[in-house]
Parts: sequence; structure tokens; C-alpha cells
Amino acid sequence: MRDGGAILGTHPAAGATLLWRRWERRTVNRAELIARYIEPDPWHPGPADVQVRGYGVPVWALVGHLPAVDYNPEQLARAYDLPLEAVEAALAYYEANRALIDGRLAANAAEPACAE
Amino acid sequence: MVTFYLDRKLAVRVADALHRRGHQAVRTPLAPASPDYAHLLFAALRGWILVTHNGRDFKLLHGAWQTWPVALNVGGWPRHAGIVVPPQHLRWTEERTADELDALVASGRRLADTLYEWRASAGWTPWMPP
Repeated sequence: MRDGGAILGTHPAAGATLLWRRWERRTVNRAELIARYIEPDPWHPGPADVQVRGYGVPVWALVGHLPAVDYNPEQLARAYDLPLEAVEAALAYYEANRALIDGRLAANAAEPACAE
Repeated sequence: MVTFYLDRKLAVRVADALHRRGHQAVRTPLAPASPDYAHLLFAALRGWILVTHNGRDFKLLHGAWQTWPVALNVGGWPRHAGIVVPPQHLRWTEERTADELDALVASGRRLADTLYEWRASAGWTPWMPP
């Protein structure tokens, strides 16, 4: 599947398995990363709207852009001008809260996800 | 020439891609903790087109911007210069996003006081409050 919100839940099957596993190896302590880099958005309380501390970039926005950079965390960090560790923290948060973040992304969409 | 104002939901590199297409593009200089309504006000006061992925919340703000001054009979309420919500589920790169924003502006369609979202079947589509 190339397009659609479901890619975020099926990224390994979308050809990103190797990249994803490489990222998983780099992420030594996910809980520590999340605590260091992820914080609530004071204007949008709730676990679906958390953001990168000090940068104000929501986790959902990063996850939403992940397919556009071929699931490459380094490229994602460059695209948003964020430290790689912050992106890794966001992806770790996503792994632990996948349904919430997918739902938040779906709330932005003009229509249900479908192929273009 | 228009100026695009990108909030923090957009990749920084979209601004670079817009520059290469001859547009002005500004990634928000507001503090990271700034609320969405501050971004809309900041862009509107400068006549800049706001670009965000946050369709959920900016539809709400756009609806309020449109309906409150009429309901409250407030004269002289300024237009905003446009809100554009590029999709994330279609895997657009920064270059593709810039191409589609460029095409929207080049189309000559009304941007002021309008929120555009992308529909696969129709492209940029104005969103109206229900």
C-alpha cells in the first residue's frame, strides 16, 4: 500500500521494514527518550497532541510526514530541523500510542485515506 | 507575490521549496508554545497565507473567523489571506507540497477568507463550515 492513513500502521509491510528495524536498534531506552523530549501541548491537552519539547512540533505531524521521507528518521529530522534523538523519541511515543496518533491524523484529513 | 506562513506542523524544508519557486515563505517565528489562534492572527495581520497540517483545529478557527463578526455585527473585521491544509496521508514530499501550493496560487482562485483542503478527486477544495 503506497498511500492512505493505514500506512502508518503498516509501515513495515510498506517496504520500510529495514529502516524501521535500524531505527529500533538505535533506540536504546525509549521511555527515557520520551520523558526527555515529549511533552503535553498546553493548548491541546491529551495524549494524542503531545509535542517535541522546546520545538512545538506535534508527534502526529512527524508521524504523518514519515512516509514522505521513506520512513527515514534522519531525513525526518532534517526536514523538520530537529535533533535526531527528538525524532526517535517521537517515533517511540508513536509505537506506544499508535491508535491515538493515527486517530489524530485522521481528524485532519479532508476525506478518508485513499490512494491518489 | 504572496507570502506563505508555515506553522510548526509543516516541515521546514517546505519553505525552502517554496523559495525555489519564487515565493516568500516564512516558518513561524512565534514561540513554540504559541496557540493556533495566535498563528492565524499573526498571518492575517500581515496578509500571509497560513499553511498547516492541522485541519482539525484550523477549521474551527476559520469557522469562528467567518461567523463571529457577522453574528456580532462587528464592522471592519479583517479578512485572513487564506488557510491551506496540505494532506499528510498522500505521502507528499516537501517538493510536491510546494508544487501544489504554487499551483493553487497560480490558479487565481480566491484565497482570502477561504480554507482549502485537498481532495483526491477534486484537488484543492474550499471547506465551508457546516
